[in-house]
Amino acid sequence: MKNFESTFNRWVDGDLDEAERREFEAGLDAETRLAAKAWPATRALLKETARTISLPHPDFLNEQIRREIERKPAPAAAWFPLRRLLLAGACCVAAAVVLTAFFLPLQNHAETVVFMAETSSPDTSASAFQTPGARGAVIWLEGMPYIPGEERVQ
Amino acid sequence: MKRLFLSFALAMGSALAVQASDDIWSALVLATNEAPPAEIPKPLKSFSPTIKKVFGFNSLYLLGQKKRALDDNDDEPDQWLVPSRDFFFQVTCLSQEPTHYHLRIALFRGKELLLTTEAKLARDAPLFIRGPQWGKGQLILLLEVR
Repeated sequence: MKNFESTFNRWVDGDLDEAERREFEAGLDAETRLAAKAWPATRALLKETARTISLPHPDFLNEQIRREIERKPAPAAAWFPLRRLLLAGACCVAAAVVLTAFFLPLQNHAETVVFMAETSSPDTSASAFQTPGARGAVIWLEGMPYIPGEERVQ
Repeated sequence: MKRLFLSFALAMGSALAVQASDDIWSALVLATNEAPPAEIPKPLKSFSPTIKKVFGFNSLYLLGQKKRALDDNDDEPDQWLVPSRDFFFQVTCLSQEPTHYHLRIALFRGKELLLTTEAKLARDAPLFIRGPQWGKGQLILLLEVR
């Protein structure tokens, strides 16, 4: 088989002398002979194509390709690398500080305010006012029945 | 960037969650004038200066207190606050804002309705209600959002 291949290759390359060529071709079946007849044209076409696509400055182009490969970005980082975790944590703290700074003054300045105060008994009255110097409010009930000290309140 | 936005949204959500978990605290206090002044109970220490300034009493006694969660629940708008057996509140949360609750408050003594009020209660800004005189002292009711 190896001998056949060797002979075949030499035949394809046109290295067989006339006697060898005739002997080899006589051993080929019809189909192979037909294909073999087309081979010189196929080889010529392949040579022509190879010549056409050969690049004028292969070293320069190889260098360009190498640079492109080196410039290629690093593979995508893992989902939560340490640096990104730290960054996310710092952003959370910053957001919390901003929110606290925004909400805390609002809460500290908000006051309790009484809109309406009504008593159910005509003998009692209610008035409301803000506590002086504080954010609270007072509802002052007047006329409430006195509860003797002996009476237990709990 | 997407993760940063997510983190910010989480922080925002946490802040809003804090807003939604307020409590309302109520107390029944007996205020008197004594020499020397009695020691102020710990839960009333922050109220003592205002009570002294507004009502003129130097001694406070905590007769009862109650705390419960305050929420804007449409299914159950009325909440009962019972700091003592004699005096208690019916509290209805009308609306909730970032800085305060708009409440309708009814004060009862037993079955008797004493007072109906509508107020905007800010956090840590108490509402003092001057109640009836009792013996030599004064009953004061406190409400505070915490």
